[in-house]
Amino acid sequence: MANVSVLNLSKNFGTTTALDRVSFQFEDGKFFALLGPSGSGKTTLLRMIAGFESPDQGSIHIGGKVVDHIPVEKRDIGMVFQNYALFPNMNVQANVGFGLRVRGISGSEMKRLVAEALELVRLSGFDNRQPDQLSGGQRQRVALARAIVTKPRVLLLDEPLSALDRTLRLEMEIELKRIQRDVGITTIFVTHDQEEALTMSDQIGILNEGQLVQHGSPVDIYENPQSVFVARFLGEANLLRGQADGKNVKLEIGGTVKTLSKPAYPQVICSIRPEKISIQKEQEVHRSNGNRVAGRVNEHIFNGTSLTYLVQCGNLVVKVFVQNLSGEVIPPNSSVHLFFRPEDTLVFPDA
Amino acid sequence: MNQRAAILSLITPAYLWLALTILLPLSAMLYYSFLSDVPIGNREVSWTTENYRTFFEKAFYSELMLRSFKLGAEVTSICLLLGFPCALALAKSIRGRTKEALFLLIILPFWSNALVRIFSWTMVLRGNGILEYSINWLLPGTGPLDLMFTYPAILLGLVHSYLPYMILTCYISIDAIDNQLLEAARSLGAGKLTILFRLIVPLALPGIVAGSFLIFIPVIGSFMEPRLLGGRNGTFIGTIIEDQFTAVFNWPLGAALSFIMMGLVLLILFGFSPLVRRLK
Repeated sequence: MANVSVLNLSKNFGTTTALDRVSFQFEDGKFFALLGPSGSGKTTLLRMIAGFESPDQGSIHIGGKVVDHIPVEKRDIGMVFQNYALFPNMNVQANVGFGLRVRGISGSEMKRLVAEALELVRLSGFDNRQPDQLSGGQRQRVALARAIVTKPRVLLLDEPLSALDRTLRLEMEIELKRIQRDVGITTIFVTHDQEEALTMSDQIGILNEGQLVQHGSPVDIYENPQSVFVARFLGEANLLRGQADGKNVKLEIGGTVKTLSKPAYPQVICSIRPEKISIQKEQEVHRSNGNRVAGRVNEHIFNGTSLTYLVQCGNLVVKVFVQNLSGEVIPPNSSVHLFFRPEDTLVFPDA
Repeated sequence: MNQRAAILSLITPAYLWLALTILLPLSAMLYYSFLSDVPIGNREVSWTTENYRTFFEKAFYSELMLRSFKLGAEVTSICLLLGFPCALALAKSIRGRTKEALFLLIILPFWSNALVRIFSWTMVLRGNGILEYSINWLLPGTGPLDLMFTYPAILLGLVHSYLPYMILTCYISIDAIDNQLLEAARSLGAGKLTILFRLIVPLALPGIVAGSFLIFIPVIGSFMEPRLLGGRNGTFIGTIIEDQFTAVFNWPLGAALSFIMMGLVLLILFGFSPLVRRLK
């Protein structure tokens, strides 16, 4: 177990910049998600920590020691690949025991450690199966057992759940989190799935175009995005353009709203999460404090536990999530008012 | 039903062709191998197993057969030792234009006539030929090499002819190995040799086996290289069989020897089949 830190990492592939001066501290024993769209550099960062790519600039420390010139096979890492990369010419036991045999551990000691690892991933008794006799979820567990059986200092996961169907993925998210907690290993997880990142990790780092744009706990990043990109990439956000008007913002779709912080630029974008908006029919409005925007219901999507309204406000469609408290649905074409608190109205410069 | 007709129409021409060109001549040869003489003109012929008995009665033939198998094994081994590393580098390290150019160089021998290739070797290997001349020019006083008409000369010619088969079959199976497997092995702490012998070689075994048979079988029956490059030392079962057909005019014996060789090759194939089945 060890903490991992990267300092000022940069990497170019030809003329494209994969990573641009990324610095980050991965604390010992925590679960980190690197989240970003494809091409954001998250996989490059993971492969650099593993040692498969070398940085053009900057350095990587594992357990307080520089590893820049240490090859992959000497870095003492565990890695799970997107397609699991199980060795097809070996059975489950030989796959999981591979790293042990390389380290000179064989015979009964190897068998004991392999059995322990398989028990941890709940695959006891699968020792003699061949990889092609396993389901996707089972292969995933074997790959995980193989990566942790050598007790590496850091566990690297490259989109390990993306090949699984939804039900299995949700199950594996919980399993992976449990195993990580049991083993207490520093884990770095690359994903493009925001839900995965939110539910599993202690810390999230968001990458865009090779830069680490924000990092923090899931709640922190979700509630306090520092840019329009983060607000849109992690969760959903309604983006309303407007002009700064003293302490307030005059919206393009009509109306003036108060924002969390004083708008610092003349042209701004306000971001409001769909679940932070409440909706009321025009004739039943009984609330007047906070921000208010008028609109007309385009359509609603009924999910049972909740409702999603698409509300036309000027030339913009605003999304509103409502908990199904009353069992009442506002029909399309109704005139409505949308209410949201100034604290939930985040303001960003309009680029 | 429609699909069945379509499949039949796709495979029938090829199988018909194979039946006509392989089975018919082969059955004719099988027929000859049991005759006492070539049935031409008014010669009197009768059924006999003497041709087959000759092989087992005269040590000369089985010694030659052994010599041919040894030649086949040696040529195959040399091709494997030279070809596998080359295929590995082509599949996993070399990219783009360089790879295309190197592939072209491998396939180049296929573009020239085999006889021309072998004759050009005689120019290189003969006394005071290109090779001797160059070596003596570089290292004066080396003297004659006496390579022409020797066993090494035959090896040289055969390896030259068959090396591309080994490179190509190995390349195909190494290229099919997912790079993530090799990365996974490295992440688990495996060094280069461990990766080579525990992953790449086992996973490339189908290519190695295919390449080996593609080389071994024609080499044991080869007669051009042994004859032209081996001279007096170039007597193998292949050249003896050729003699029976072209010089001695004893087709029945030539046919019988061919079938014995085929039987032995099939035996070896069956010996390897458990290994090949395990690879699937």
